[in-house]
Amino acid sequence: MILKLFKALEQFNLDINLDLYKAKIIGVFGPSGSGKSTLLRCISGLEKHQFVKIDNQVLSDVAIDKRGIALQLQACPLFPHLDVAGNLNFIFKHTKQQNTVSIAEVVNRLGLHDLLERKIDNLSGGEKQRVVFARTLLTGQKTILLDEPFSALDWQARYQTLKALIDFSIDYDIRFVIVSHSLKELVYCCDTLVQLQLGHVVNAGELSQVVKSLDKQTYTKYNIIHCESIQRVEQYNMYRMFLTNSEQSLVVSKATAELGKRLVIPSSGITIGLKHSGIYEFNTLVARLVEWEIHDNDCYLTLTVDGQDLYCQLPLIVWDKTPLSIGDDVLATVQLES
Amino acid sequence: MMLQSDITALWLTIKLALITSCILLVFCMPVAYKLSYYNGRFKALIEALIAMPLVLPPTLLGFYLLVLFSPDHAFGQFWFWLTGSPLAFSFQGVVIASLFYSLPFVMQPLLAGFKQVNSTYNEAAMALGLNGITRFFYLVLPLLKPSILSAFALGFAHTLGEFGLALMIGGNIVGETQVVSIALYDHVESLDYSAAHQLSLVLLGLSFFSLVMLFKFNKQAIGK
Amino acid sequence: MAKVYNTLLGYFLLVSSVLGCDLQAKEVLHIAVASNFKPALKTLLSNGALPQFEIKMSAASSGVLFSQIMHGAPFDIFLSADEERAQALIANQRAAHASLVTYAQGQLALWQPTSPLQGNKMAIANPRFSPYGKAAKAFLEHSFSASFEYVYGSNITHAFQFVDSGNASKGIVAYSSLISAYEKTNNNKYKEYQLLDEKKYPAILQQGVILNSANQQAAQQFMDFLMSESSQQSLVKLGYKIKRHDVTK
Repeated sequence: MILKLFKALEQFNLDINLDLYKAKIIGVFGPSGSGKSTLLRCISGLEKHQFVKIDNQVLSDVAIDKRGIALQLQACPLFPHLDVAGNLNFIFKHTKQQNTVSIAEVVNRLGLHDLLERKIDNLSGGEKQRVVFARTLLTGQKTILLDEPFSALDWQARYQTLKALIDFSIDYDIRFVIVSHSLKELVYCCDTLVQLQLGHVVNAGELSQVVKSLDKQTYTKYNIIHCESIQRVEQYNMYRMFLTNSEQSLVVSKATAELGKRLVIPSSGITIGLKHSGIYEFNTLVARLVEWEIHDNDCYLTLTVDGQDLYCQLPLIVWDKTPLSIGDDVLATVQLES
Repeated sequence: MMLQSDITALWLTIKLALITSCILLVFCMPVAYKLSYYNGRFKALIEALIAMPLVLPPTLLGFYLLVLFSPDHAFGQFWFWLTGSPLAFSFQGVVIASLFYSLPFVMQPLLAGFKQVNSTYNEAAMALGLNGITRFFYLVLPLLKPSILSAFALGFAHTLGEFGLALMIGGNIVGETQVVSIALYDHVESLDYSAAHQLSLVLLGLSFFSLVMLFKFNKQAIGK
Repeated sequence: MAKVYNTLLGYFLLVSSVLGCDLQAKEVLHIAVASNFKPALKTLLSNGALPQFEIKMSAASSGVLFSQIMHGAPFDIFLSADEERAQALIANQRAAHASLVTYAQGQLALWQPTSPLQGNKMAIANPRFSPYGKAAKAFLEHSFSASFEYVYGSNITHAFQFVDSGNASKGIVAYSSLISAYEKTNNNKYKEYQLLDEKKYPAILQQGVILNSANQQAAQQFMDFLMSESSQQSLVKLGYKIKRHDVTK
């Protein structure tokens, strides 16, 4: 996506200049009031008096229903006079695009069967958001903007929905732009991140690069561990995920394994050890220390595991008692969330 | 037993209230729709103008309508040219007067309804890329149903009680301009209290019924 | 300082209005007057007549005033537009028969101003309860065999407005309305009338009574003034006829 956008706001100007050529799922984050939601509203055409140019096409004068863009507003409401199925049908029927995505497909992939007959008043916050997202997909647009779409979902459901989002993006060639305050969720699903501050892009690019350059104190760093194959461990009903280009593996639950070959682990979820203790060390990887840095009472380590970066945040007291220097091998134990 | 003239007046009043509310709905829907979006500098002015009949004494309004309807006036001439009959002392004239009189009562619920529907549901649908016509007919109208019904009921109930205007421009013609309130006034003026009591009771029942309906619709209105 | 002054003034007014009733020379007279006679009454009182009284007028239709009095409205004198209601008060023991006077007699005029007028509407006051309307209807039925398209004003002034605004082509109105309209505007259209032969319609006797609840002496002074030769002569100039003697029955 190549995006040029300008809009004068009361406090500052929203002035965006992005060249994210290959990006399919773009995550936008930044502090509250940095212009994230306004950015989406401008692209969709809800805001007036602005300049928008996407992929060399000036959209400023294009009517909102002719842009080929769907925006799901923050806390987007379902239509109260229709039930769940009615809401889905309504958008499916009244959007004239080539509806490549069928209702059955969306319901299936998002697991909404049980909700179809329900009145919308009786849905929980999380259920509502899943239905709203399904409804947005049914617009059939190739560019979909989402504003805090999954904030009410628990992590289990959120990961499942994000996984579905990734699959839709691949299978139907849909480009997503997601605004979220949760970096964790963006790290899981996006291939590209954009960091906004006071209406300006302060950081943008491929996921791992942006994560690498994030300010450590403001943002918890999330590790993205890429795996290439998954094996079932019959005996314990668990799954062994082998890291890309590596002999090493992590053993995860079925739910985690179903989320695909990408694991997201916060830097505080990694602990280190120096030598094997003799008992079975669950999910412990052999890594090498490449960098360390101390801020306040924490030490931030950068490890590498067979070519993949692994960020680790330790309390300073632990670091001080651990005799390590750059280039040493360490044992990194990964705590996967349930 | 009710007087024949009272039954005629009652029927005429119901007819008047129905016609007035229907015309007002048709007129107010698009105006309220536009107005709910409009945020320009004339907003307060327009809203005040619409609310004017609330504060103007009906007899005053009636007097100016009488002047407006007169053949000395361009509007009166135009109407005569158009229809071949003058407006004063005719049912049409009373309808036009009622349109002014009940305008704010039909406009207000619609405006409130549109404002609410627009700020939440309509905007959400717009963001999803639905065009204006689809949004209006398939989303806004169904969501607005309770507001439309209460606007209708309010317009109806208010027109039932119209007096000052019908008195000023009606000329008290049975079956044409003698509405219930005028017939009541006649009974009271001619000291025929028993006929007045009887007619009041019927009018009371009718108004009460339409108000009950109104509150029923109001309860259904979105947002509760 | 102004505030203190205002407060003090307020107290003064309050105290003086509470205690001052007896101290003040002016006695208040409440007159319930039929709307059509109010302008005439005002004219009569305009030259500083009856300086000993503060006269408060309540104008409405005779029917409304009658109902109010029957339900205890605190009036001293009732000037009805007809004879019926004034006498009904006597029948209901609200007023003494001795006080009944015919203070004026209404005159009807057929008014048909020349104008590019359409239609055949005849405006009259509602004959069901207005004495002027009753008389007008009687006149028209007596004098013409053809029937008219009547429009009814709620009172005789209202019928006058119907013609005046041009919505009715002609009407039977009070002579007094035409005279006062001409006085105010000098418009010649108010001269295009024809006084009706008074033998052809029942007399419109506007009668007044003193209510039993009134201060009889004060009320009588007012009645005397109203019936005085000069007042009655003024009424003639204002378009009313007068009766020489008090009517009883």
